[in-house]
Amino acid sequence: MALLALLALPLIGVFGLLIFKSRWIAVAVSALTVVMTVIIGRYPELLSFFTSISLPSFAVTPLGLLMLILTSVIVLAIVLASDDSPGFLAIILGIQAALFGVFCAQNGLLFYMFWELTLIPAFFMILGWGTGDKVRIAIRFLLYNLVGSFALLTVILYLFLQTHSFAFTDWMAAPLPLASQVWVLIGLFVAFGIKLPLVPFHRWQPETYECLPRSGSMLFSGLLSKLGVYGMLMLMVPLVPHALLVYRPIVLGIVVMSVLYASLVALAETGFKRIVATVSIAHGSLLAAGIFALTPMGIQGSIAQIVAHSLVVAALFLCEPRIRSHFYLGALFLVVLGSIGLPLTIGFIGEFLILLGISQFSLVYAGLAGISVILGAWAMLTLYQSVQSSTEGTYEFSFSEDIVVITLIAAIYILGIFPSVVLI
Amino acid sequence: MIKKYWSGIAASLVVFCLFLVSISVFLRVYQTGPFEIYLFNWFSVGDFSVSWGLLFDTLSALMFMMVTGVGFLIHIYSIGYMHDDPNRGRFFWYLNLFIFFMLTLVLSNNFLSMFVGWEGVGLCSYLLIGFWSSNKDYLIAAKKAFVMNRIGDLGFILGLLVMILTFGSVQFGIVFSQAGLLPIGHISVVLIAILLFVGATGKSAQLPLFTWLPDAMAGPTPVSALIHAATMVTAGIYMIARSHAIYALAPDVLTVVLWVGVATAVVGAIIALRQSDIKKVLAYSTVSQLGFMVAALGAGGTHAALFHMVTHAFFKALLFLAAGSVIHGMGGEQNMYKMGGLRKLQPITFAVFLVGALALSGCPPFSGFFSKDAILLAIYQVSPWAFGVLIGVSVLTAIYVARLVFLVFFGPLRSDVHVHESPLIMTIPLVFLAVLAATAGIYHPEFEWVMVIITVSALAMIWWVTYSRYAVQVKDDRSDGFMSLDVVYSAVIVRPILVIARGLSTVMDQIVLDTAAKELGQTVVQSGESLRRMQSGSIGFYLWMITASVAVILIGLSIWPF
Repeated sequence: MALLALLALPLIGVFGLLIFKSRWIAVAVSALTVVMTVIIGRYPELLSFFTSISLPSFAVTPLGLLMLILTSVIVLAIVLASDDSPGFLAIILGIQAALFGVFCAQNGLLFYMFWELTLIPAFFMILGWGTGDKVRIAIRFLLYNLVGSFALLTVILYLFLQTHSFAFTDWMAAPLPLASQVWVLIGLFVAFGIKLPLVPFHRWQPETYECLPRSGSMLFSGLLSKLGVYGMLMLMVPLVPHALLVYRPIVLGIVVMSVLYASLVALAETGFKRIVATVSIAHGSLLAAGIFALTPMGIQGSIAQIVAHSLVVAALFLCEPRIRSHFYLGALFLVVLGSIGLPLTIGFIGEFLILLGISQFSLVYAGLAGISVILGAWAMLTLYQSVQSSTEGTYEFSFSEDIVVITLIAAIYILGIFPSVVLI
Repeated sequence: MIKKYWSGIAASLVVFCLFLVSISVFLRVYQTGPFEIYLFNWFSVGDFSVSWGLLFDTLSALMFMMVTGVGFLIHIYSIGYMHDDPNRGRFFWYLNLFIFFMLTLVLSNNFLSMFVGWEGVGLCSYLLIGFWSSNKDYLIAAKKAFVMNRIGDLGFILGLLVMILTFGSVQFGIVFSQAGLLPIGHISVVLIAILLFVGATGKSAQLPLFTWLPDAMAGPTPVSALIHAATMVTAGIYMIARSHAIYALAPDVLTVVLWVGVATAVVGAIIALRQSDIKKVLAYSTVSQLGFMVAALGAGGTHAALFHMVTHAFFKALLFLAAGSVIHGMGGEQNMYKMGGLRKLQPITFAVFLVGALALSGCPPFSGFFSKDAILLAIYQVSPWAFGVLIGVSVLTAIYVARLVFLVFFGPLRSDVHVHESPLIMTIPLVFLAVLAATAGIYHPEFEWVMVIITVSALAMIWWVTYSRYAVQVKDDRSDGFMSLDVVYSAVIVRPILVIARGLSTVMDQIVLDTAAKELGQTVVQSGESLRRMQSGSIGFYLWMITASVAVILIGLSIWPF
């Protein structure tokens, strides 16, 4: 029941926004979801108390809970900092509802439906509020993601035919032969690799982030990309463990190559949003590398890095339009440090544990992935210095925006010093 | 008056209090032996956990005193040096932050929190090199320092990974005691030793990663004294000294360490001979002297290396600060060929500079003589060849130091600035450091009279020859691009990386991948024609549709759970 309420809450917000057209509805609703997710995290017995009337297809796993909290926190940050129209905020809350659905679904059909539901509002967000060549970009975004969805749907239908069930528990219980595991692996890798994105499925991403307004870039990079990671952790690792283990050198090799590729391309990119977007591909690929190393450390590191990357990338895009002021320039520097994984930020914990996880499999792969530590610092410092020399010191004071950026930075550093919350 | 200086005074007081703490800690370690303080758990994953903790033993207490003692004098000096900089508050903030991270580095009881300090001092170095951020070249120098250090840091990180895989811990106590159980030349230990040394070559500016240090002179001179001479660049020396239990098990790596140190000492000293910028001479000299320390570590002479590290901290900080006083007096001029005759115009600066110069050239009875002697002795026992090379480097050292002294302080003044002596707030710390640089050797007064005679007569000859070349008539032999590795690195590493990056971005991304996707996409678009028509609809309508259908699904599910 508590879960149902949680899923319904953003939807109520959407209706409220469309009817009353006040951004405070979005603020109130997203604040309420933060409170609810945190309460569920703090008192999980609330869920089991209502077991008799809760839905068997919905449940909260520890990872799902982390994603729920992260989603509501980032959405609250976006809504608080934005001065967007109610229609835009309604789209954000709509995507939040769909994300909640994905993170709670314990059933393949529901998972797929909510997965698809994120896509449509996202498409209209680009179309309605994007800048530049937005029609072409929106279509490209949709086409890439539909290919991924098609792969996902194929796998889900295949698994349904094999087990005659959509329930995750039934899927996990049915051992697939290696040959079919490989096909499932490829299908899921394409589906989640496009979403994250990984090289070579990444071409939709930089221009999409670039064309979106600030809140949209924060949402896409901070939350929608995490769908891919969530899918890898939630479905790929438990469903095809044997195939992943057998083909680990290849899968990990592709992902590590993706890390290096994106780190290098980031050096050639120009423009704030495109550089951040490309570095974001590198970070996302590193995340995937932590998962596909198939070691406990790597997976722990990836989970920490999910939080790190969402906070950092949201804060980076948040600072972007205001970098000409001293306050935001300083804030940007602190976030850049989080992005390059300086110790005492949560980014360091994630990167270090991921590299440790990879090294448990192969030190060479860890060393290759580690080159991104150098290239990432190079790209991000170049980016920072390019905006540093263009400061003019004008600054419009916006209380809620300042609070959001300070809170995000505080989270990046506090979690870096006390990371046990995110090491689940 | 107070308002102008309060940030500097507050920052100096903090460091002074830490200095008092360091003395009491040193006394306690001296009396009752080493002790550890557990702070709190940082993180645990599986059975691997890291906590924050402090270790006080002779080594860390010594570093503690050196960092806070020299740090305090440099803070005081900076109050005078930075007195009319509009951003001095920020300057002292960064300086204090540096002290914090440096103490994290030297007082940690495990390698991972040591790495926190290691990266933290790199960050402060970045911030302070680029402190005058309106100059783009300074920003580029700062970025270069950070990125080159990151190359070393990757080595450090990989070393930590192997360490965790081998010992399951990064705690000094556990790692060193477990390493003791492994045989000499064990592959993991060798790997750890090499990778940690890569880290040290970055931070302590050894070949091939030393080229960031001369560029780092873009920072204000007190920063060069504190970070790029006395403390941060000795972090690599400290780290190897701390891990001597590991290095003792990897004799082959020690040989590498020895020769990297020797080669760096040679290269640094040779380049220093031809510089025209007073700070660049001192920077290359620092590279060369760090090479001496690394070579001593490679020869197993940990004590000699640490001894030289301390005396070097005194006399090199002194030389940098005195150079700062010269630059200050010359109105910002750093070119030695525009100086000259300053011994009469800046008598205090000249006197203390001379003390530092004599200590650096290893003249008895100044501190540098004893520490350099100790290093040469340690190396002689391991490799007479390396010993011979380093004797040669000592001669070069004496030459570039004498050249510097004669160019700056003797002959006629070669520009028309009005030179003035620096204020007391700058000269008093100089005098303190001069006393330390002169006398620090007496803590280890072992020497042979024959060495004294040889050194003094060799130095006398060198000073006599250089006097006629640089003081009586000025021989212009400057060559600032002399043996510059930057050109090589730019051509062999930086350019190719950027070319590859652009190639990937244009050819691979925009041609290969986009064409492939377009072909694939065309098919999907054609089959999804109906979808494309939906574009013309109103967005509000679709939002209603979406939310309504989700609501229907949710309600349906709660009635019919499948």
